[in-house]
Amino acid sequence: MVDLLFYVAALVAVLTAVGVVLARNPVVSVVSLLSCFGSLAVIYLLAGFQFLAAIQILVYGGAIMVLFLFVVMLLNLGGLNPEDEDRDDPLFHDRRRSAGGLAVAVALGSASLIGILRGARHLAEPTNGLVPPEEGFDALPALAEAMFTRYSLPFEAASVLLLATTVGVMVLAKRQRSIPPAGEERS
Amino acid sequence: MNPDLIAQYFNAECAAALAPLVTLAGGLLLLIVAEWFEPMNRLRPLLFVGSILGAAWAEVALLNAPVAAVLGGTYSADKASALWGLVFLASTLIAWVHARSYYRKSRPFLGEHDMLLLTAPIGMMMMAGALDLTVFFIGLELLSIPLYCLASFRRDRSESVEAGLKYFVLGAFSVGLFLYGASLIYAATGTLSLTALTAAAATGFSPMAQVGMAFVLGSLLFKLSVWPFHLWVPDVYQGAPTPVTILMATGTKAAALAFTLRITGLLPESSAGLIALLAVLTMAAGNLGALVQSNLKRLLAYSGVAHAGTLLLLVAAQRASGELSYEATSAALFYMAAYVATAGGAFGLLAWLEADGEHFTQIESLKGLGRRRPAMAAAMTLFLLSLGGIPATGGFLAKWMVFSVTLDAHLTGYAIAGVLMSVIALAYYLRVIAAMYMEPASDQVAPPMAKRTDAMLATAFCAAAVLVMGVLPSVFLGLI
Amino acid sequence: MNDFLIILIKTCVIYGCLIGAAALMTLAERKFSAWMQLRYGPNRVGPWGLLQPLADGVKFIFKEELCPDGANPWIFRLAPILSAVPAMLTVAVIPFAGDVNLFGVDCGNLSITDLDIGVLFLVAIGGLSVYGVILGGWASNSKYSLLGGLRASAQMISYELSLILIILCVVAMTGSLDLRAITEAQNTGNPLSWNVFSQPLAFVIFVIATFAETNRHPFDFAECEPELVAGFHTEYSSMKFALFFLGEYCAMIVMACLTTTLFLGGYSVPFWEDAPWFVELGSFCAKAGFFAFLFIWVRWTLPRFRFDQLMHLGWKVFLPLALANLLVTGAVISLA
Repeated sequence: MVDLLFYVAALVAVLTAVGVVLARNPVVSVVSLLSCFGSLAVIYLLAGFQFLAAIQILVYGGAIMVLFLFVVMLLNLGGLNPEDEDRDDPLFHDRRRSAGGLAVAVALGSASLIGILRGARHLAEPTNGLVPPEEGFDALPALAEAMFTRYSLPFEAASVLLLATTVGVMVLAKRQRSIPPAGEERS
Repeated sequence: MNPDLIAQYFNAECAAALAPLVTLAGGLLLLIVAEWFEPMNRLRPLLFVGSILGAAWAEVALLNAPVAAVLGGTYSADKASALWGLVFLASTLIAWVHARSYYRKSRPFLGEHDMLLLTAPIGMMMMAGALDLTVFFIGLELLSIPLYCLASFRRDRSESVEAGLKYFVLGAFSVGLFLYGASLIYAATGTLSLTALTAAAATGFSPMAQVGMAFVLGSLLFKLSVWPFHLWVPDVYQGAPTPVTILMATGTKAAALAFTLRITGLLPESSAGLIALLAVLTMAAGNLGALVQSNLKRLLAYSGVAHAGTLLLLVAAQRASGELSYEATSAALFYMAAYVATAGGAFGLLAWLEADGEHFTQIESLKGLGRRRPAMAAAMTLFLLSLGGIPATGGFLAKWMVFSVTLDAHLTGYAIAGVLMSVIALAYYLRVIAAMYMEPASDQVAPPMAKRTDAMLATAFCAAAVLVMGVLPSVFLGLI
Repeated sequence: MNDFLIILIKTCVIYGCLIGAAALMTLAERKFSAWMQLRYGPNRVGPWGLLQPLADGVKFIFKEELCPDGANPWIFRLAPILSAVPAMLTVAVIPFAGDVNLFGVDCGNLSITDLDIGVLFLVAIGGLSVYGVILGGWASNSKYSLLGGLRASAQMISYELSLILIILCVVAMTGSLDLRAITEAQNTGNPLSWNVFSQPLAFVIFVIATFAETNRHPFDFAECEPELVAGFHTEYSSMKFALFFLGEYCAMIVMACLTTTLFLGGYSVPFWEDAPWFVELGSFCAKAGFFAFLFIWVRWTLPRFRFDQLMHLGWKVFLPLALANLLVTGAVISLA
């Protein structure tokens, strides 16, 4: 049962991930990505990581993808008529470029796949005396303790990061008052 | 929380190790507070310089009492990372001084500019001191995100916005590579700690971890601007406001290099040759690209790629020599210190010129600068010669150290190729110098050169540093 | 097998009650509005109009299904499902009463499941219902719908922040994300131990934020009849429209239940610590019923905000207040 669920979730995750790239309509891409995240959450649940699954849905599903959708809709990318959607899309028309991109993707993907498949065999036996995390390692007390002791530096630094990002976004997004073009006015 | 646990993690050593980071973060908060009221805005320079100097003081304190590993072995403030920290702070300070005269006073968001600029060294220090991939990742983001914003800070210029966007998209791609690699490494080994990973690598990584390592290295090479990940460099360096370019060219490179040197132990032994080959190819790409440039800023960007190649030789040497030696790190430190002074000075002069008009960064418009602005032309000549590695400048000794470390590691062929590349590099540096001194002034308007004391002081400081490193290197080598 | 059967029965009963309650709430909405406006409201179908929701359901089924020209048919159909399903899923973690003992059979606690991360589950899944609104608005290929969808997404994101921060205060006080543990911590027989008395500010912010989160009046900008016809569901008809309605009312009921659980001691009965389960259930239903009534009461009493006022309230008032509340809560906990 669990195995079956895993295969279904994994299949959905892969198919929707492909859908994200192939969909011509950005909103469909976003919905595909959302389903991809959902199936990832299912995989986390099957592995016994409840908290991770909930955070995956909460952060990616509930917040980030909504903002994606918001931006896509606000810019009204792709329009609503499927006929004139991809006429000016260089990605699909420049054959050479898309072939090159595809080649790179296939090369990277197959290289990592070979590595992963070869590595997966080693996973069963404890390699190098290190073992994969135990089930339930994301139980809240353990997670909280790690976050506030061993990982307190990245945890606190992440808040500085968020602060800097907020400042940066404000600089980029706020409508600027009339700016004297720096430098050009005298030449 | 359990008091024992707190005492175990947050002790005096931890406070000393984190003091520079905390100082900078505190400065960031104070800068935000200073934006609340109009009169408090005047405190901004004081706060900025104060927090940089405070952090530098904390780093100097760490030089005498280095701390090996704190917070459960995730962060280290050893001597090398304290010195790296000083390099980052110097780079930030030079960028800031030039930014002060680069933007007009009336420009909005200058407070935000300083905040973002002050965040970047926090990220760099975390990258240099990281003993855990999580710490490194947050450091990388903490460095990158302010730089994305700063690169597109001049929103009235489409090149600047384009530079920011390019840097962002490619940077996000490289961060994605890093995360993918790190997750593979974690899946294969069950740890993110560099100490544990080095121990695991000594007995041989599984293929999955090796693939992960390749991805991690790829993302580092992107930040280092190594061939074939260097394509973004000319556009971004040219499009970004020049003070930001200073930070990108010197600070980012130093931070990425510091961490790359730290993780060479995780690379397979056979990779030394490959890395050295990449280094030579990078030098070739940078130098050949620079030969045909007509814009000095773009030329310096390509020269930055070439320098990244030289630095990568150190990584190869570190890997080839097997055990983790301090020699490569000290050579890297000296090289980057010299590079901060040299490139910081050269880009700083460009910022000075560019503030008066975009076209003044064309080599064409520098003709006859030697007669019109003798002091400026002399400083530029000094920086260009140092970039080219002419004796009696800091650049010469830095290159010499790198090549001697490479030779010690028995990478003779690559070292010779590197020296040859440096000779090619001289061609385009000398072309600029020739334009400044030997060609008659073009009929264009001369650079007006408003008098700017702080930019002048920064240039003088850089020039002095370059000369001292060339003539009296023992001052700096004693520190290292 | 017996356990499985009990869970199956509990699930069926709870979902049956939820859908029944949602149907009844549509009737209550109309009855109360009529009462407040000195009208009669629906009173033809069944005694006091009690069978009106049933008649409405039959009517919806027989209406013609429309899909606007140029709309994306798949997303157009997906949206109502995405609106209703998350709202209904979230009820799974609400603890309605303590241990149920029915005819000598121990049926366990009265809730479908008690997750360790119950609150997170509820917020995470509940947050997904915004997709129904946005996608429905987008897929309708109509400017009114699109505007409604855009507003809904901006609004729900803004208020979800305050909502989660407030929930964190309660979670920090209890030290658990399990809704039953949160209830039990308040179930001391003394109503003063309910969180509403220790977290009055949080309670007020939470209740107001739930209005915004469920797109209810005075924050119903996703619909906003005077400006947007009917907002995101302008183009919907038949059962698809009914699904949107069902989702909205289920979300309201779940939010009422959540408010009860977090702040009013859930199923705890005042001055009776070990009450039997049916008394607890009655207590829970009374409290949740009050909040459900509050949704209706407010709708027919207050005028609608302006959208910028809503954003101002969310970002510049509630978010700082919620943060400050969390800070003070943390400080008090660590000092105590």
